[in-house]
Amino acid sequence: MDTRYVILVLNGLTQGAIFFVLGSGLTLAFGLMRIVNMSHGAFYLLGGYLGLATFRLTGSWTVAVVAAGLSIALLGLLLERGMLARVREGGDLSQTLLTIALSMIIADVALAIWGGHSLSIRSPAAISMPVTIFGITYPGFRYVLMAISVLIALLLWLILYRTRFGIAVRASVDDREIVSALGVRIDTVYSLMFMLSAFLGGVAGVLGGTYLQLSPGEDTTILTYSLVVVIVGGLGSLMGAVVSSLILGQILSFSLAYAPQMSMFLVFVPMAIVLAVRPEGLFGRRV
Amino acid sequence: MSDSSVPEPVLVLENLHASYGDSHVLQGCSLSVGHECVTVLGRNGMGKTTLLRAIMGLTPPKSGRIVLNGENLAGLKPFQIAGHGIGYVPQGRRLFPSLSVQEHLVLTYASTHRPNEWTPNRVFELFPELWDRRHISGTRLSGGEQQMLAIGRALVTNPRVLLLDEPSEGLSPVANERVIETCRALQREGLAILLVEQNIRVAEALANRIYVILSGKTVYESAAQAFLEDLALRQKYLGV
Repeated sequence: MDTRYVILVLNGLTQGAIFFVLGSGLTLAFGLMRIVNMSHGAFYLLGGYLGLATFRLTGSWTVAVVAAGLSIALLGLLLERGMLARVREGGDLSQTLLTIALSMIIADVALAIWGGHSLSIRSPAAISMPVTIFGITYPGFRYVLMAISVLIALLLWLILYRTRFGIAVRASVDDREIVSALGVRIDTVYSLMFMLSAFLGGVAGVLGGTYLQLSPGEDTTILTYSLVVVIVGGLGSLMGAVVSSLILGQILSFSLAYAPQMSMFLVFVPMAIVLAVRPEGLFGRRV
Repeated sequence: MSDSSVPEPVLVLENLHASYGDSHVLQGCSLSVGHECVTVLGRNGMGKTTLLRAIMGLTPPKSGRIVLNGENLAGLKPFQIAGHGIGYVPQGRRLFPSLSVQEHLVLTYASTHRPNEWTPNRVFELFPELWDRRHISGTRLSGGEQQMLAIGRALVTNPRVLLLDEPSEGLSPVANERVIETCRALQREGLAILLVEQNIRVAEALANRIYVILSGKTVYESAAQAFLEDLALRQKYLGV
């Protein structure tokens, strides 16, 4: 097989890995907890910039990832407690408008601080050397991105299916009212879940900002991708997010190589097909 | 009815008012529950379910007091009310389709560190049939087993008062008998039970005292025996 294709597949996997970190965050908040969060893309962008700032300050990529994730998680907590929880009774529309407004504010603040040029986070030297497997040479850092993504998928699975918090989350999805009437602090479940979602958005920003670049407007593009991941995979399905990120990553990688002007269009083709044939998504539950 | 037949109250409702949509309105419910089984009877749509929802804070009361061991719970959030010691078995059971039987009990278990507290294992001892099916989804159980799980799920919160909303609904006579036996056993352990029912059979089997609710108001109170033997009263309030 032509090495060129193998490289494209690997690029797709790298892109898919970033999509998963991003999309799993959104599927937790939007799919599971039904918190409509249109500022997930802005979380990504701000996370990326904060990671960049931390990297410039400390020179450590790992510290940058953790700092960006935690800062965005904190931001998420403040927004959820301070604003989203107050409009929860208002339904989806209030949440949508509120989070669109927040995303514009975040994007503009980022523009004011980091300017309009594309910026990129340098990948750490220690893990950047090319790795050759079966005669294919590929940057080691991209394998690290894939590994991080797999690790996050495993951790999320453990949290959702092997902890009491995960049980509370799944029960809240089924019947919020009864969960709270049985003594579970539902508000805490919501806040923690939203923090986790924001954390993943921030981490994805650093991963994406290292693999590609950060620039104004990226927030809306990224939000669109993450919505595609969530909708194709099925609202709230972890497995769905894995599969749809992988599909989306390959489509993006191959379309950028062969038909770059069509790439956005091609990304939406699977979404249109899924919505037409199986509106609940590949792994979604019929509502 | 002499006053000595009314035990020391654990839960007292004083003139509770609540509205829920346009119908099902509470317009002044007062009652007390001690270490006994109190049954609220009433026809459909008289506000029985809303009464329990109001106690749990799910339909927050507009006025009135909900006093548990001297403390007013009206206005608290549902999880706080549950935390004060009220266990809730909702109408239609409302189990969680995403959770296994065991997860239902793990989720709501609140340890009290008392020696005979309700733990998931103790619930499995009470309902051995649930143990065999602990890994399957709660909603794939039979109707009777679902009711047992709904009761078990409320028991592991280690409540002082157990609220049961129409536990006999949709159950076979055998399953119903099992639920009645369970309630008797719980009552003997000193749990206060407040049951709302349409099924007079269940009330006959369990109730120490009875309240009748009519258009959202408690209009009648007596020892169970007295009411159940008075056919004219039964006809008047329940049409049976």
